[in-house]
Amino acid sequence: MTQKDFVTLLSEGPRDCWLALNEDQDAIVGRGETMAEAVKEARVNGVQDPVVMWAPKTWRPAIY
Amino acid sequence: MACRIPLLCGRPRRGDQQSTDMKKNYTRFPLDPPHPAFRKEVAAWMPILQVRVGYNHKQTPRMPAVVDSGSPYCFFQSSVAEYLGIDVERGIEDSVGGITKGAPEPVYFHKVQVYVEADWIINIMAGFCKKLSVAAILGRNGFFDNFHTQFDHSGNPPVLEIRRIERAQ
Repeated sequence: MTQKDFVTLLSEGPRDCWLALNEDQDAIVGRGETMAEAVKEARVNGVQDPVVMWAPKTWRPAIY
Repeated sequence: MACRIPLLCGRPRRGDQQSTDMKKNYTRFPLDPPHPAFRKEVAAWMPILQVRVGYNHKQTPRMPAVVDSGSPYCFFQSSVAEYLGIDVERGIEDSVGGITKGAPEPVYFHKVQVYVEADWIINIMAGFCKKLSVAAILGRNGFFDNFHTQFDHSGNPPVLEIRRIERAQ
């Protein structure tokens, strides 16, 4: 997987929510209003140790 | 060989006895819309480390944390604390601006453990805030006082290098 793939994955993914990614970080396997919801959905989808992250409404080059 | 997993690129360089430093390429994140002054840039490189947060023998999953020398403290979204069973509003209250959009937001500080890239554990006082645009920020108090940190933008991608500060116990 290339960095461009990761950018595409996030730019096309859900916004304003927590995301759970599989271990290779090439698929979104869960989402939720909270981290716990995203992790729960990932585990339902068979991913026990996802990478979680917040997807903002708008991806910006700064943290505000 | 290039690492194919974006948030794990750049494994620690291991010395004879233990891992003391690590170089890691920045991670690329989307931009939407591109900045009007830099229209050709559709993605932004960010200095990211993978962390887990621990509290009372419970740990979060891995999450990307932005290494930010402009932030005085380490911050996490409140949802991280809730996942760990922390009663957020029982922490030490303050307010924070600059890293949140709009008016200053309440932030509550708690002592937690942060597992940095699975190689180091630091015990820090971190702020938990509802309105962060990222999951986690590693700031001066807590992160930069535990790691020598170098941001190298001479190449593409930029590289983040960290080295643990060893202190006598």
